[in-house]
Amino acid sequence: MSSTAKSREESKRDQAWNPRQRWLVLQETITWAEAQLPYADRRNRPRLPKKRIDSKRKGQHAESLG
Amino acid sequence: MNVDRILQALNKAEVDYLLIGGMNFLLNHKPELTFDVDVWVEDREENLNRLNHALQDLDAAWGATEDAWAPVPPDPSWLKTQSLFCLSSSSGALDIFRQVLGMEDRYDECREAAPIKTTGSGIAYRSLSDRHMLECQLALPAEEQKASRIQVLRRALDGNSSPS
Repeated sequence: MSSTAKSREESKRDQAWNPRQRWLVLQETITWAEAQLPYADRRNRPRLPKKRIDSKRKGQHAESLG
Repeated sequence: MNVDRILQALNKAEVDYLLIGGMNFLLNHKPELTFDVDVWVEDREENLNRLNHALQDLDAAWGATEDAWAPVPPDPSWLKTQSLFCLSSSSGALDIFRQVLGMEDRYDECREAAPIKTTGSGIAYRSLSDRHMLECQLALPAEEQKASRIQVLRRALDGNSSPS
């Protein structure tokens, strides 16, 4: 399997895919990826003072350490 | 894209797979622009049969040419015609690898080293390890390697191996 084969396959999919459906999928991907991030690292969230964000980050880190 | 839905369908059909590529990196390290789910599947007949069930469940479509693009057929033999397939599905773009560049015949070894993780929504998946992700990157032609990904993976691996 070469990287050229991958480009060829991707380009075929792009041509065959309904553009409207593809666009919906792209939007959903961005939303999903954002939701995977810890709250404090999300881009589209209400702005909090820096101090509070730092303490949220520390809290999440402590939680992940169990 | 509903990545959870794709992983759920693979899990439900008991497909033996590893999540690789940008989505695996995104889930384990940091956000990276990626618009498909890359999955490396165990290349055995029974597993390809299970995979075909999962793909049908996802309303996946593929074609040998653009004009032949159609929902995947019930007969899984089409999965043996290539080593890589880029499919569309109702849950997003899905790339299926029967072989991964630079990692030929190493599925079992990579699977053994792959931790089982969960997405933010709690869906389980088997994740290609950082060491093997780095090997995949380094196997690519220099112009296709992702420098930032390599840097993050090297840092993560150095952090794991440093004495505590």
